[in-house]
Amino acid sequence: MKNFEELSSLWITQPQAEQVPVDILLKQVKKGTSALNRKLLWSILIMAATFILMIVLFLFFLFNSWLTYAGIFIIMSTILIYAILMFRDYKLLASHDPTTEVNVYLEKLKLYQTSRTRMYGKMYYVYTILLSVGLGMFLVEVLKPASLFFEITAYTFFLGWILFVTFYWRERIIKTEQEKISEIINRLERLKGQFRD
Amino acid sequence: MKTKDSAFREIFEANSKRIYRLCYSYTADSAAANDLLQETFLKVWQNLDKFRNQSMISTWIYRIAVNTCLTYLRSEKRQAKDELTPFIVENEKEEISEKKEEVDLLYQCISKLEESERILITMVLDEVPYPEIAEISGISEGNLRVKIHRIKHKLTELYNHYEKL
Repeated sequence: MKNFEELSSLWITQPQAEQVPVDILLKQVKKGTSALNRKLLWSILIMAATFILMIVLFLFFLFNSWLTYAGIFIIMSTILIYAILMFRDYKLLASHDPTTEVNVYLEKLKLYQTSRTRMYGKMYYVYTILLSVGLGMFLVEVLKPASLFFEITAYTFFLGWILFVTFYWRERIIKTEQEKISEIINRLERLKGQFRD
Repeated sequence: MKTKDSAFREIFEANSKRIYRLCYSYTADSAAANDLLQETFLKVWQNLDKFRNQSMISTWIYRIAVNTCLTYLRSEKRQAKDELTPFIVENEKEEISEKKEEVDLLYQCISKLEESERILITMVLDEVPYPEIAEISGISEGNLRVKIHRIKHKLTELYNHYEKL
């Protein structure tokens, strides 16, 4: 039989566990930080590169039809809106300071979840329709000189990709992400209850 | 003026032992505890410039560690779920010294407590002052004393129960 004081002294005198040396940790934290930054940077760069490409097409290529210009403009606007929404979501969680209270983080998570549901719900269809319309208008003139076979192949591939993303990939992303966020929220809710005075 | 590297080194040396224990009491798994320790210090590194001395640095790090432990959301399987069967205790007895065995049993008992209880008792065992625990956990000092008294009793009972097995 032991009393709490004995458990306390057992805790204090416990053998030192093997831990990561500070130098290795320092390397890892620096690597970790740059990895996080790199990931964000890549997303921004891809969006920016596509946007710039569209500007180049818009300004420096001469197309005959106004339909092509309208297509490019629609694609550019869609990418821009999507990038802004993504950045807003990113900021929502990235602005979380780990030192803040659990319930502050919980509120942010709930907002994030609502936003993501909206993004992959109605917003996704708006995004896909706009992108399809824009690309469709752009391809009319671009594919004009190509053979009928190439034209059909390009449209089939494009349509197949949209269908694959809409009915397979999107569902999977939503399911995984929502499950993960719900799990986090449930556990934080449970914990909030435990810490309540 | 201290560089960020040397400040980080000092902070790590001064706090890592306590933080590791906190993480270990949460996970009862040394690999997971080390992961959480690293995650905590990654956040410390990322936010070191933002630390404004409004609280003690140890309190600040403890709070980060607590939140990191609480948001430890990898699969439930990675949490300490092992039942304290006589078989497990028996196996451990064969492998480790008596002292280590007692410490392991203590950790196993801590892992049987609720998440918030684990964190509070770890801080008590680490002799963190009550006002600091109150600040970290967000519980008023008066209520904290009642809670801690209850947790101490629960832990002692758990320990004595499993020690007999």
